Amino acid sequence: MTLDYLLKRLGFFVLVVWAAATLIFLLPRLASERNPILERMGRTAAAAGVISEGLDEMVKEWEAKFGLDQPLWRQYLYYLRDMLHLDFGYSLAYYPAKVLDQVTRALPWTIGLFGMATLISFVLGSFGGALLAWPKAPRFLQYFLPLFLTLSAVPYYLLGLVLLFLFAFTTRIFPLSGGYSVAVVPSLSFPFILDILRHSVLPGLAMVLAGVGFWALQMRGMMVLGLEEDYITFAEAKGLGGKRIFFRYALRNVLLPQVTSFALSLGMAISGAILVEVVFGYPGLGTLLLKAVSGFDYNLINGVVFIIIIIIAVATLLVDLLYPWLDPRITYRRGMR
Amino acid sequence: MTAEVLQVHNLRVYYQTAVGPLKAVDGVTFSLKSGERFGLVGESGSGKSTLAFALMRLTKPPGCIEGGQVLLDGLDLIKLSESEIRKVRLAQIALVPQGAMNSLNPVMRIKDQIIDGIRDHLNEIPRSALEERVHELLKRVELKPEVANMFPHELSGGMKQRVCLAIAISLSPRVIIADEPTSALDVVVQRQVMLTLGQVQESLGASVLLVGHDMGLMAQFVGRIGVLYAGKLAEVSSVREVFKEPLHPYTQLLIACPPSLKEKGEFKGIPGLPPLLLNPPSGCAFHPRCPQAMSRCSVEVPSLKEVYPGRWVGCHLYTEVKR
Repeated sequence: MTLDYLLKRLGFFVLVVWAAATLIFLLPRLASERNPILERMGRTAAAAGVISEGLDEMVKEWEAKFGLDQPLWRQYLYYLRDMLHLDFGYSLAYYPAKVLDQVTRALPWTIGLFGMATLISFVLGSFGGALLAWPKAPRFLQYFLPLFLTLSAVPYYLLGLVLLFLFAFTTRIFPLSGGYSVAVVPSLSFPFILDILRHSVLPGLAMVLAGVGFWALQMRGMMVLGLEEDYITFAEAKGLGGKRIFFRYALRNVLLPQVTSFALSLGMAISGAILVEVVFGYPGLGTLLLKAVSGFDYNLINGVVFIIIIIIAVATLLVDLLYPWLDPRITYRRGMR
Repeated sequence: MTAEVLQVHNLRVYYQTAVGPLKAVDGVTFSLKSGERFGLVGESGSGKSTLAFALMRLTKPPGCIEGGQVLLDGLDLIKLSESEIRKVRLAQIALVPQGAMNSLNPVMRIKDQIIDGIRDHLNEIPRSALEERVHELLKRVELKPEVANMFPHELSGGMKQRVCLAIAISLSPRVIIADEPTSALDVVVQRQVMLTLGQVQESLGASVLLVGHDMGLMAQFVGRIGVLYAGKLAEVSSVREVFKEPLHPYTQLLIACPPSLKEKGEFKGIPGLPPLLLNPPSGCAFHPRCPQAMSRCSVEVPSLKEVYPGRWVGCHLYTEVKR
């Protein structure tokens, strides 16, 4: 890998993040008939039971405070400057909470749950799919594929609801919602970690079950073709052990397109994860995003979406940097491929 | 040194299809002497590659070894278990593959691809000894030691074929099966690779079974030749005699095929098409194309018989030599 390649990848990374940041700045502001300050004021007023006079003046006052009275281009420039500092400002709906604090509180939950679930379903699905194409693999594996394929056709959140009903509502094996029990004091102790794991089983399972079939099917298809390659025949002629041929020759080569498709699927998967979090009331970015959207909280929406975009962009960058190591044929020198 | 290393008796390899078995190799018998170079020729679809693969028990479904014997130093390879045959491969009988371009794992360094074959056959060998062995093998096939650390895509076609050769000889096998080893190479590289194969074979004292359809290459490289037609051997003789006086009508037409350089003539082929093995002609499979066919040929399958000392032909035109 060369510095040239690294810089090119990083440049692309910055470009993606900038484009995304611009989009999430513009999109909520296009809905010009709604006003977050007015909505917040209205909620407060409704809670208090009175409609105070001078509401318009108060809205103007707050708009000036949040910089919403400025022309759009100036808002945009301020916005870009703030994004560079990861300063998303104050939450409009939950003022005076800062957006960054809310996002950083939710981030580890999503990374933990989504990251683990995606990795597990990728590894499990790919390995299972490879075995499905392997002639010496146990026959019983064949019966799993139709089951998981059916499950992968069911949306994450629906699967989540079914799991909730079966294992939390009806049988009460797992908790109904949340990231940890209310009674447990958050700390780095064994019971707390166990509690977190117990809470993440069902949402994690929903994502894994929905993902495994897809990976398995794709992997089996590529593996069937991969086993036809001349180097597999020659590896057999070399009298290599079955395990070595499976891992080092067949699986290793088929993994390359599979990893590409993994990187491409991250964006799709995270949007599914958001819904799963909402279903399970999991304290991650998904739940936070739902709160932000329903409160029409520009800044919070910005913050959450921006962080999600950065997560995906970083993951894609990592896969990109991993590629030359996975496939020696890919060299990133100038003028090659 | 005339002991027979490899004896093939009545080997049959069928492909199971929806409409019945396709007899790709149908009762082939021949043997390889120690240190001998034996050529196996035939047109596309005559079963030569199927035969070569069956000798190493590499036949894959829907292909199936229906019967016969493959004796390697008296050991019947057909009867071995899967793990036993795995140990015989490379150590006793090694393959130089046809598609050298794609026969190496694209994501593994050359040295690792040489080493893993050795490691899966022998007990623990220190890494340094293995590396040394790799260098020695590369030297034998006339490659530079730097090749060890390269990946296949960094090598030319000829170099890849040499690497395959280095792998094939890594455990000093008794028999090397070379399945059209140079079909993907140009004639210059072809010659160099064949010279190296010859040298390596002689220094090991191994026997070579060269499979191909290049009669010119055969004439230069092998001592004896077997002509395969529709899954059966039509003729087995020393290569010199086959070229001087081919006996089987098919061999005669085959030898007459290439136009001579001295007199510019028409490129002659063999009239007709190779038979469909699913539904082969009755009697001798060659009789519909044979200029010397008799009524007997369409009824009775000719057996391979020794018509002159050391010359075997499967044709009704000849009668067995009286001893």
